[in-house]
Amino acid sequence: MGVIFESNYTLPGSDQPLANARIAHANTWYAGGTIAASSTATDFFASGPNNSLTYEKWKPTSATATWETDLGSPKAIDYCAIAAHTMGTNGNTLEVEYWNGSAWAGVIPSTAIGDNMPVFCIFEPVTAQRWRISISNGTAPEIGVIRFGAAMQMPQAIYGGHSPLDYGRMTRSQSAYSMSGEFLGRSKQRGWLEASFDWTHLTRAWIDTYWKSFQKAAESEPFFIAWRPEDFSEVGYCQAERVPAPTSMSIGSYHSVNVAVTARAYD
Amino acid sequence: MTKDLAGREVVQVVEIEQPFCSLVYGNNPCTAQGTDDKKCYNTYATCQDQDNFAASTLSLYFTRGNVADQNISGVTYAIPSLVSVSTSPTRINLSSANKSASGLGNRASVKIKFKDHPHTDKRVDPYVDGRSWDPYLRASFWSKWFARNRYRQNITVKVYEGYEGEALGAMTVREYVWDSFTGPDADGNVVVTAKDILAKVEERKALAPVASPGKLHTNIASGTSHVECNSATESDYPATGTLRIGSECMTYTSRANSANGVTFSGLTRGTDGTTASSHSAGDTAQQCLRYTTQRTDDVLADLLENYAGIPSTKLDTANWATEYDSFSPSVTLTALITKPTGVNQLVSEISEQSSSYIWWDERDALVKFKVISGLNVAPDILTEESHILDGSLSFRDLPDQRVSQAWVYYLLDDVTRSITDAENWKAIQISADLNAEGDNEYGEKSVREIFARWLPSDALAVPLANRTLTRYVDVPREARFRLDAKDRTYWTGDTVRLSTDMEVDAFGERRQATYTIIQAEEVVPGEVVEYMAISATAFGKIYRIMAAGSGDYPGAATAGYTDAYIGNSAGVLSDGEICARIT
Repeated sequence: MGVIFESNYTLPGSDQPLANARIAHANTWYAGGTIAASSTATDFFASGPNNSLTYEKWKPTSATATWETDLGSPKAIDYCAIAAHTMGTNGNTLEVEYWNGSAWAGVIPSTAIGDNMPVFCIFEPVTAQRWRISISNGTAPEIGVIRFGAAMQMPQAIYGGHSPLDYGRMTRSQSAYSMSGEFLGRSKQRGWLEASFDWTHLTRAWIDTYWKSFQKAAESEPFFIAWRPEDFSEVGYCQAERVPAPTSMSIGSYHSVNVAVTARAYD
Repeated sequence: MTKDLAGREVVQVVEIEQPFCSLVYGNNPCTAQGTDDKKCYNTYATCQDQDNFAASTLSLYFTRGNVADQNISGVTYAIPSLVSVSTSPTRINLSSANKSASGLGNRASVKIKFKDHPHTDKRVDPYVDGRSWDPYLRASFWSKWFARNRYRQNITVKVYEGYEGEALGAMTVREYVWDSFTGPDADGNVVVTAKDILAKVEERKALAPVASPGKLHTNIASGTSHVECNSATESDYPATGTLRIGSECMTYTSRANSANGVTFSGLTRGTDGTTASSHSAGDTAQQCLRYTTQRTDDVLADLLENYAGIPSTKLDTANWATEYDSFSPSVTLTALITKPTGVNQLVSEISEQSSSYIWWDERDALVKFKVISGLNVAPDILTEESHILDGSLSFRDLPDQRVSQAWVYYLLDDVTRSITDAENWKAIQISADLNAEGDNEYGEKSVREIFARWLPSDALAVPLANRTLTRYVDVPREARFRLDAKDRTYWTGDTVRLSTDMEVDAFGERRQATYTIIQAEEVVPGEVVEYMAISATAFGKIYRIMAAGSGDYPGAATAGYTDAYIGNSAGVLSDGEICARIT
């Protein structure tokens, strides 16, 4: 499904353009909230989506369900990111809401989820303590990761030469032939996704403010990336292959950086 | 296209059935008491009330975490830490013909490599929510698991293989018993080794009869009719039976606890070819194991279940009985085993002397039994066009297994002496094909000696000698080949015919020779299966005498496989096929 925008989304004045990547990493999301789910199936865990492990999942007992995190205090939130889910396969619709003190208010309207690609919901910042997703329609899905936070916004867009993450399929295929050359079968093994992101003309001031935080987060945990949300819906739940270090471009204070990632494949 | 043809995607799941207490900490009948941090992990090693440990199992599933692994019906919680599964398959030793291998063949085993990782203790710790620490930050999954599961020897390990979309229950499953592990190593890998259940038959583990504890309390003379043994009670011996003291066997009709241990009465001294003699205090009174005119399948079941400790649920005894009744009902076994002997050795002897074999079918999780016999069902034909993978087929002769003379020793003279000493046998049956030893054929003799303590009569020993000669007078051939996974239903113990230009007769026609698969291994899981097979053409074919009035031979394509049509004087049918022969 990828990127989902709030209805009538208006880019906040101080935000970077939507041609620029949005990254949700461990130093931007709020973990440690108190989790409550409307129901949880046997052998699944309500707390599962609150860590980065994709195999410890929450599954409700019915398709109409909610999963809530109480952050303990009001936080400014502008994204909800979801990975390792089956909402596409299960034919679900998704809604993202916050508690406004008297009722649940939607930031992402009820949206049909077409596939199992990670979801990156982008909305105007709202400060609230309690956040939840609401599932409806279809059959009960499984969800491995749910994160709420304020995204890191890259100050530059990615230009030519980028191979979209969703097409970087690391699939091994093998054919079999008989002694006389007849085709006997073909096997495949779908592994992960691979891509590389390159940014240039990042100022030293921006790097000092934002990049180190990302580096430290990426050392420990996966992150979400929507590389060009304005035009392309690809969203990846990625691991950095190595700690992405900026390199001086010898043009004033500008730096460039390359981030090579592997991402969880879903189809 | 079906799942196992184009676009197939293999799913591999490992299941470890970890022993797990079914009780809740501190709830009756569990008497353990402690704070949340002190609670056990429902394993025996961490149990605080072991008298009330209620054994059950907890299934832990592991996958590689590929796309196809992400949603397997029947698996709700799978840890994606599986790195590789390496198998070493069962290899049958047909009738113990391969003297350089164990009579039981090779044991199947599997090495499973896991990547170690932090873990939240979900699933493995029933009380995780009450702990005061975050288990994800404490040690690794396997280091914690090993500490909590110190007693692992009877853990069942299963390897499932299927294709994307298949439910776990529909996948092929192979079952093993935990053997050992290594790691975690410096790279964070753990390797678990598991073996097939017949590993329990290995010599150091299984002996029959069991060693007896009783020792003579006093000296006894050659005519004494009762003896008392200390260091034992009556429960150490059956109510009636046979004892071996020194080189003498004696039967007893009763035994009872007595002042100094257990006393045996109603002795008949010097039985089974031995001589009554005096014995000294302290000599061991060893219980003997006697079988008298028993079915092969029954003896094997007794040895495996009662002496090797293999659960009866793992013995396919109903089909064993059918196999025995169908193909060797005339073979009965009689023997007296006078000292603890490896079950491995005894089963090997029985295999050779009854022309049968057993093996662990890891797919069906059963020990299977088969009699070497003629075929009564037409085997499938595997061709180089439709089945055999390119570059995978090879043949080799096995000259070590050729037999020009079969010597079967029978009627043991003294059951307490060595059975491999030719001087200890009263009779020998020799079947020979002297032509095969001539210069125009193999040019040398090849003798196979069989010390047949289980077949104490002419009626049993003579057919064994003849059978052995017939089956091995020509050099057996071994074929190795690989099949695509679409044909992976063929497995160990199956018989097939191979149709290939690599094996032809003198006129260049394909022989379509018959082979019995003695080893099968999925060398690339879900993709490629590698086979080793031994020629079985000499095992013959079982014909059915046809009813009076049956029609003429209709040709090979439509004639029943076992129908015995009358051929011409040259033994050939109207289309050149060889007709049935009564020999």
